[in-house]
Amino acid sequence: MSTIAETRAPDTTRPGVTQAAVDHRVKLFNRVCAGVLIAFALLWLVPIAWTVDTALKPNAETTATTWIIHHPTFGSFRTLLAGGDIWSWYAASFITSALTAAGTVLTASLPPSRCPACDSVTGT
Amino acid sequence: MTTTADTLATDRAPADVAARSDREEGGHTGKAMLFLTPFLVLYLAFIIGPALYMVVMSFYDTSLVKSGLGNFAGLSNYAEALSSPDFWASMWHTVWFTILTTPPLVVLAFVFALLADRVRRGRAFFRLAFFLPYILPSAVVALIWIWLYSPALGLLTKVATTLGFGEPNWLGDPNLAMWSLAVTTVWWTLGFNFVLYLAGLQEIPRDLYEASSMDGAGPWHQVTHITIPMLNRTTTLVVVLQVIASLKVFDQMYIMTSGGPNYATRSVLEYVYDLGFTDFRTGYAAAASTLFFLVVLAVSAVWLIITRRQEQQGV
Repeated sequence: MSTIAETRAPDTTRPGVTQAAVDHRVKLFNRVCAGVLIAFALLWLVPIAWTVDTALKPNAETTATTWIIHHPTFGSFRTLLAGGDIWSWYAASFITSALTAAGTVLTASLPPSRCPACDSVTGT
Repeated sequence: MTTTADTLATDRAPADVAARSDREEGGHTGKAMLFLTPFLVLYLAFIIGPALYMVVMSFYDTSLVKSGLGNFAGLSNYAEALSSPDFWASMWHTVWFTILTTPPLVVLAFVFALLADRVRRGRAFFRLAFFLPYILPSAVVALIWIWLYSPALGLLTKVATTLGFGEPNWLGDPNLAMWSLAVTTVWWTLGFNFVLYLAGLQEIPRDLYEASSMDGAGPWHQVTHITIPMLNRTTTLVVVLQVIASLKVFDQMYIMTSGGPNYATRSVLEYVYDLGFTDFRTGYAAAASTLFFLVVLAVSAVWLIITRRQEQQGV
């Protein structure tokens, strides 16, 4: 959408408004938009960041509601992986999703007609 | 507004006609049915069959603890459901949850997509940020948010107390629990609507914006007079898919509050689950399911009517 700002023609109907003033306003507007977007994107990442943060804390520190980790550790990950069971759970999930994907493609790709629902998404 | 719609219609017409004749040529019924068979067999066996069985079962006093359909009960299951305060309470919880989640999930997704479409750098980052939660399974989302909401230790509890509020019991307060679940759901599923809107935005021809800026339209006018009207079809789709998805709420409520406190967050699907699998009254649960199915069917019918009308206007 930046192209709009660049290709914007001089506004001859309003002699009081200069090209520079218009460019400045558009630039300011774009900055505000970007700022709002960045703020929300970071807000959306907080729960996941907090999960990762907690995962890196030693057990004793998990009860402290702070982002700071005094003794960061991969201990929780090691315990989990050494437990052994997680690998068979991974395998179970992987086999299930592979079979589901293959089965879906096999049964759903055969019909030659196009799906009306997909058309309405793309608007074609 | 009408002029943009008209020019769009003429632009679109040839492509649509081509698509339509394409579809008619592909419609040799015999061959098409052959191709459809694998899907149809599975569809009949796993969707239509069980759904019909549900309707049949709703007229019997079927129970999980005895085999077969049981005795014919006529409409008594329906009469009981419709006169049960618990059924209506859970129905209201589902509707209330839908009212709480649908507007933010549509409006925020639209605003974020609009802003993400404007930025020049870091698009991948914004897509990641908003879509990442959507790929998490419900159990993981529930775990993360139970941890965030946990009394005394939770991050959000800390934020609330730091801001000077009393310590909120996010999931334990009957008046607050539904709002907490709504916040979790908005965070979790916004990414899907966000992506639908991004796709819709990319379909809008860029020259419309260039032409309008030549005529002196500012960014705000472009949004209200080009973007929003051009996204009509996407918005209809997003709203209806969202209403249906919100009506079908079960996972996060079942895991995070188990319908509590004091049944304040028991959705109608959880009511069906409780009656069917805790009380073993599958016949009665089937009647409640059928009643709920009618509600979802009504929403889908409204969508069908709206899209039909849009197609007639668009072509």
